Amino acid sequence: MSHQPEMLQMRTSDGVVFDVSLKVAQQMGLTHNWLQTEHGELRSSDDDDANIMPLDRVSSEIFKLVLNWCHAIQASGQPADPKSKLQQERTIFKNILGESNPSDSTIFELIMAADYLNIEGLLEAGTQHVADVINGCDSVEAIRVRFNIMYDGEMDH
Amino acid sequence: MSGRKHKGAENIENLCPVARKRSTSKNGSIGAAAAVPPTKTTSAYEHTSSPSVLTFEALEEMGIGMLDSEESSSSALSAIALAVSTTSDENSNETTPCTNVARMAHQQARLSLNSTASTLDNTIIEVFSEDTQERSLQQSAEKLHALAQAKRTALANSECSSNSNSPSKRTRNPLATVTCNNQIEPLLPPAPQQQPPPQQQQSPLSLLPSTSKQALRQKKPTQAPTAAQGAPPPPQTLTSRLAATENFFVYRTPAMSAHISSGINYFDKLSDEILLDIFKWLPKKTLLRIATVCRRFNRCARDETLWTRLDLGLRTLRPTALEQVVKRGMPILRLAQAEIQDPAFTYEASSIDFQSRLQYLDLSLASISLSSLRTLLAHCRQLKKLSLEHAELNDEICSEIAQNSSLETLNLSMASGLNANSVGQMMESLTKLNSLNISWTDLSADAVTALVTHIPSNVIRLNVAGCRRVLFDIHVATLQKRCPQLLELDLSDCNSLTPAALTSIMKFNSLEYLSVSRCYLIPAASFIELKKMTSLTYLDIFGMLSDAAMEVLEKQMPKIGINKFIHSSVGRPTVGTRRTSIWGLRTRD
Repeated sequence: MSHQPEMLQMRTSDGVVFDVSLKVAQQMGLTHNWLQTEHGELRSSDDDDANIMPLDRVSSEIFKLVLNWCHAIQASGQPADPKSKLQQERTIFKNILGESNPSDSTIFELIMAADYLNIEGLLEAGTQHVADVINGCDSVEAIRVRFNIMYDGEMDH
Repeated sequence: MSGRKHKGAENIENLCPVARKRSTSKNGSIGAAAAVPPTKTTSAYEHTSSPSVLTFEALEEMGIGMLDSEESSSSALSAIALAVSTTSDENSNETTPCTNVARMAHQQARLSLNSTASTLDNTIIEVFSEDTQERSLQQSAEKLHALAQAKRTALANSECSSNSNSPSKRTRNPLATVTCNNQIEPLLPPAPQQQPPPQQQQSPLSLLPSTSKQALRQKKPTQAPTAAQGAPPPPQTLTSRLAATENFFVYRTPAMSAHISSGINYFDKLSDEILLDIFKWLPKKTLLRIATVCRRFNRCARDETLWTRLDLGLRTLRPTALEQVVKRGMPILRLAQAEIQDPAFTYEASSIDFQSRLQYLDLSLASISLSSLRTLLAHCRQLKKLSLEHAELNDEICSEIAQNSSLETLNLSMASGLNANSVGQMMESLTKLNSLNISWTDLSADAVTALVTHIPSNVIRLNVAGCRRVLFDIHVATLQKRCPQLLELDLSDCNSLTPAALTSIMKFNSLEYLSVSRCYLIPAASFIELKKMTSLTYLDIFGMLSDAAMEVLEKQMPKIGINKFIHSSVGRPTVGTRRTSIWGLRTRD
């Protein structure tokens, strides 16, 4: 068996291929599955396609942010306890979102990507973020307005 | 006049004085700033017109909420939500009543007043607030419920009927509804009562909203309807209102605009699982609130994984609030010192159609009626630990308790209403019981007999303190035979016990704690006998020995802690100052 490569190639839904270090890629639960089932042995380079892990549900835009997240997590190391871990995750999340008013599209896409790629920390941070926004709304109407939710009739209370 | 304003008008009218003051001050400032261009006014209206604001926040203002913790509003919200939803059916299919005519006349008078300058409007707003302060809170509450409900229906209806702005349809902003009405009802007087006659006078109105508004009128009590006409229309001209329609977004606050841009509901892209992941971060109060956002939120907010524990200690639960709480299905529920108002359930114990998942229920010092308590317990068949300290009981309640065959801990300290039958029944059925506190329950001698004769052998902690003149040595002997493995026994204030009781007590091979405080018939000298009990670690004999005698005894029994515990903890859910857990289980997420 050839040596384990340090890099893993991942292709997003729009065809962009990313070279990701294995260590970073292993933050994603999906890679574990991929590496176990598809990739027991590295095939020779004429079969290159087979070595590229497909990410059919993530666009390159979002994946860039995901990679930012993974790198930031890796860079900051292991926090002491669960509480500070949450703190750290949230801070990193805010950082990767970058601009002052990230669009809902980005946030929700990130959450879905985190779910698909099986990155628990990112999912936690993203869902917390949205929960904060919900909490910040003063009324039910404000929530509907903020998220463009349609009121669809009587509900069982 | 603008219908938009008369939404605000309705709001003000139907709020109780406290809430009205709050909104009034908003509108008051609007009136004062009438010289300011319409833009400002409109955006300020947005805050007051939301029905949800009325329902939840305003009601909290009214004092329908309780103490100022998260959970405080939750039961109110539930009860309120329930109350609101029951009025909806009545609202839907009503026709124009004739009784409105009388009101109309008065309102026309108001209308003429109202259509003058803004400064006058301002005064009128204040006048109205004073007027309506005389109305009772109850009326306001009813109106509010009906109003909020009709508003919901109206908005939902107008959602279907309005076809003007696609953004408004998607975003479902009240403003959209109002602008529709505006276009059609230019001269409409401020309050909804006035709609039927204008309907005849003017061009066809969009009927759906009107209908629900008419229905709303039906719902409103007829007392002080004129005062209900409430706040005057906004100090705006019709043209500026129409301008508002076309330049709809101009009036939004910047923060909102940023997000409204695409009009897409991103939650639709998320699976329910992720939605629950988001909801799990929300406090209970918000959870209840979002349950009314849409059907999907309602379904997910009620998911049982979000409701594993609830602490309503010290809260006041309005009628039927407890029913909503129980329906949420949490296994851990603390209602210590809660006031549960009647009727806590909308149905009787006999017509229960579901079994609650409650396992750990703390009703210590709760104020609850016999029938409500019975209905509550009738839902419970899986209780593991139950505290009814200081509760009023009766045979039926005890019978329901007895149905919980997995009950391990039962605290009936200071409860009333126990008799030989109920005690016997519970002891016979609760075979898994291991901690029982039945102290100070005014048991009769027969009840004590029933207790010790049928007590399950699993019981290892027992507190029968306070059985004055009814608990005798023979009972202790029977007890010893029934429960030889007892670890903890509190017989304090059972003042009929004699040294003979000690003989039986000595037969408990595993007893670690014993209290015979204030059992005055047992002389000090007998206690030294207890030294033979190898397992005994603590002995409470308060009120029995002088300090000097105590010292002597302590010297003679160095391995036993004497008089270490003033209060028994048998069966008690919270011991000491810890208030965020019951029986070691967290009550708050």
